Amino acid sequence: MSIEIRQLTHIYDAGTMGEIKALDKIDLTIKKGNVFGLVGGIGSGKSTLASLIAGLEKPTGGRITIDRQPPCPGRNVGILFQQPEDFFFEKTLFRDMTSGLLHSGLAEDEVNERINSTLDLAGLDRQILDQSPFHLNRGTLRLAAFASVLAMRPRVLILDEPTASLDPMSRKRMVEVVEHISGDITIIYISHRLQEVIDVSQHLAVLDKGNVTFTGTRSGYLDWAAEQYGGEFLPVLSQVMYSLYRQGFDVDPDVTCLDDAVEQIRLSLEKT
Amino acid sequence: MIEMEDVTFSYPSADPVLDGINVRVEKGEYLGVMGDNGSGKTTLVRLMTGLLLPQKGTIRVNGISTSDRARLLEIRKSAGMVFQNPDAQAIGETVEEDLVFGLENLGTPVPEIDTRIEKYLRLFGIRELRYRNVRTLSGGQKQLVNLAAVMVMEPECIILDEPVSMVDVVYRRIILEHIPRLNRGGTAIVHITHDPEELTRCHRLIVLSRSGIINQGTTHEVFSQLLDEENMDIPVHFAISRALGLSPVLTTEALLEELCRLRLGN
Ligand SMILES: Nc1ncnc2c1ncn2[C@@H]1O[C@H](COP(=O)(O)OP(=O)(O)OP(=O)(O)O)[C@@H](O)[C@H]1O
Ligand SMILES: Nc1ncnc2c1ncn2[C@@H]1O[C@H](COP(=O)(O)OP(=O)(O)OP(=O)(O)O)[C@@H](O)[C@H]1O
Ligand SMILES: [Mg+2]
Ligand SMILES: [Mg+2]
Repeated sequence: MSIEIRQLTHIYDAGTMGEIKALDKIDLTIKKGNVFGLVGGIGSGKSTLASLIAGLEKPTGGRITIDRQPPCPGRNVGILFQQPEDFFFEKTLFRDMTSGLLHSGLAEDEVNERINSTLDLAGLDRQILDQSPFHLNRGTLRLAAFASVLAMRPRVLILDEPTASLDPMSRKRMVEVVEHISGDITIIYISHRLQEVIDVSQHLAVLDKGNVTFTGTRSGYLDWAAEQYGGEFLPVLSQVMYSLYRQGFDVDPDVTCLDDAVEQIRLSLEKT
Repeated sequence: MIEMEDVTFSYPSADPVLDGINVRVEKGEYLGVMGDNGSGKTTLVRLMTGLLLPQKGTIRVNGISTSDRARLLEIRKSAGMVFQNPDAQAIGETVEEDLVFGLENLGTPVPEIDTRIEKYLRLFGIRELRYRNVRTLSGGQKQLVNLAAVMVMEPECIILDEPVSMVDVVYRRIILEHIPRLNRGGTAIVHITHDPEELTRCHRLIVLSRSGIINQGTTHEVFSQLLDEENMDIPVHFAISRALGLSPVLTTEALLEELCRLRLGN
């Protein structure tokens, strides 16, 4: 499903003294079956854009269409909230994960099957279903929220800081799942972890105080970021490689994998 | 500063999360804590601040036992905590109220309150958030406000439970530079994170797992030991320098220096 965003504006508390323009006439096109990375400073409007695309809020101006239809939460789009606590309110995880699906008219067997398979994808044990969401550690709670959204089988999936609070193993697993499912569905991936967004996304956009300041491919992003703010928006590895490159080392600053980087540095040392 | 001796803790009707754990945080020390999801990191720091009490063992903050409930306020004054879930921490309605609250409790004189609030809002570049409602802030903004709310009280020990997990690179740098500065000024720090890049300035690290503390030592020692562990991350600079057979470094500057020296040697 491709997403068209045209002249989208969102103002909180519009018309009051304290109004806040979170998005300012932005245009974006997000193609089907892609992972679209969304980055930008705190308060730049990422989560606001996420909730507008998810249809949870109405924009104060402009429009969003998902395959020419308006967004409809739970139908064509699912969202993993930035704070996993926002997801749960029932006594057990089981009730939380199943109620929406049952409500949408799915048979009990189908619901159970979906939940079991998405728990597997998230790397969670089924026993967790009996627990209260309020008693879970935060990383596990986020994985459970991830499993819940996946079980809804959305055509568009928005992930807002999906790997915050995850340990390295769960993080790798989450990224693998995202890569695995992305051919069939459109994914919007919001994160402050630059290396991760670059690794997982085909296209990226940068928001800055409600404006889009960059859109393009991942290598386009690296070139752009290298020129901005002294390279501060580059992932750490790329910062190292750019510094070496500038010091006359014969290395490719665009390398994104640690082993390749080490190999290049080694070769460039041998050449001198 | 904090002494945990032979501490065992379990939540109601569950197996122990921590079983016979010993952890000491010296005055002025900067301790990093890593470990898998569910290994008990948050539980550990809830115990340190007396939010939870152990079934076995003792926990003392500045010599005061956390089970001495009459002196809980003293403990809270000397050890301030930034919560993992930013919504669980806010007390006030507005950012200003949130910062004032702790200072008033400490009995700070009014003019001093204002100076301090201004100082920390400026330090974190969030002066424009002063009169905002904390509930309507973005995720990263909430984390910054929570950090400011603890730091403004200038406690002897600051406990950070994933303090910058939702913060952008610019603010992240500001905070990660400020924490060691506070520490050099004598503040003890306990810093929990899944991101080893945050811990390069720590004196000492401990690694928790569901079976207890599986690794501890100086920052260099622990990162060296984690080098070959597939399920643990270590800082990029550390990994590069080790892979090249150099002595381990933790910053780009140090890495460049080492490599330029090598290049000259060739
Ligand atoms: N409910 C609300 N009422 C008023 N202002 C809001 C509300 N939600 C967000 N804002 C403001 O809108 C702006 C954009 O917030 P948003 O949450 O979209 O940022 P973000 O890019 O997701 O930031 P972060 O990386 O910190 O999560 C911020 O200035 C924020 O304080
Ligand atoms: N209030 C609670 N009631 C019951 N069990 C709990 C409660 N809080 C945590 N637990 C359980 O205790 C264990 C340790 O949780 P804790 O939050 O300390 O882990 P953590 O290391 O901080 O994890 P994370 O990296 O995900 O934040 C987990 O199995 C968790 O489910
Ligand atoms: Mg956000
Ligand atoms: Mg925790």
